[in-house]
Amino acid sequence: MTQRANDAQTTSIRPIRRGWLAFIGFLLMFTGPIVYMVTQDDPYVRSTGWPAFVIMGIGAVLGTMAFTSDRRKWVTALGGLNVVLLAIFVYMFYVWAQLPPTQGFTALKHAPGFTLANQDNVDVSLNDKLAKGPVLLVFYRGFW
Amino acid sequence: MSELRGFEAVNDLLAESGGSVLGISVDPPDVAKKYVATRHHLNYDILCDTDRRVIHQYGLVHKNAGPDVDIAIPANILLDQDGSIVWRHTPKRIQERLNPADVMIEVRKLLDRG
Repeated sequence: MTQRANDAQTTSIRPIRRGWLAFIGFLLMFTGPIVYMVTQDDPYVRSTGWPAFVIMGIGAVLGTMAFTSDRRKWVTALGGLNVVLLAIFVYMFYVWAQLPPTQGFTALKHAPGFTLANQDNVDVSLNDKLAKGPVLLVFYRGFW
Repeated sequence: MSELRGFEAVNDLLAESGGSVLGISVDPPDVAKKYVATRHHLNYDILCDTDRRVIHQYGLVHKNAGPDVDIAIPANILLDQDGSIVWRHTPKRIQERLNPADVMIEVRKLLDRG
């Protein structure tokens, strides 16, 4: 009853109701990170995260558009939530994901020697490898 | 992980001069074999710094990256045969990945020089 009365009032002031835009925007806020997860095999996508930013950006714009022309509570809440979700993603991507500084490494001129087991549990020595040719060392975080 | 597959081509190029790519992480050998070498069809060595000795030697320790777990800070280091560092790259963020094609350019420069 009350909701209907409110709606009627809102409609009389603002005839265009765009609540559905906020809902689509909300779906896009989750689609963005999922698309990023399945496309991050590409080094450029992984580094920039552009598919997620484009999709979530559209979601935030839709949520804001809905909010500016439709002030029902759930539309306002959803529109605001879309912007918050984008902000959280930006924070995770650029702030939380920062790596610690590497002064000790930057000062290195010469590679310290080592011997480590490889994936087949066979010992591999850096000096043995260097005796044969140049070497590219690739330190990575882990298997995940 | 995706870039590790890309480094297969770098390994092939280095192999022409007897050189090689060495991947290094703190994963134990069974994990490195199953989830890295086998899954991504890698032919080069994936080394296992399980006791974190080498990442300490190189100053590449990410302390408490997980709950009470130290892992490697990602880094790419190109060495000439004397073991001198001729080129290096460390990302600023964990998602940042090198394009293997850019590494190829550095490797070619080194091979042309030698």
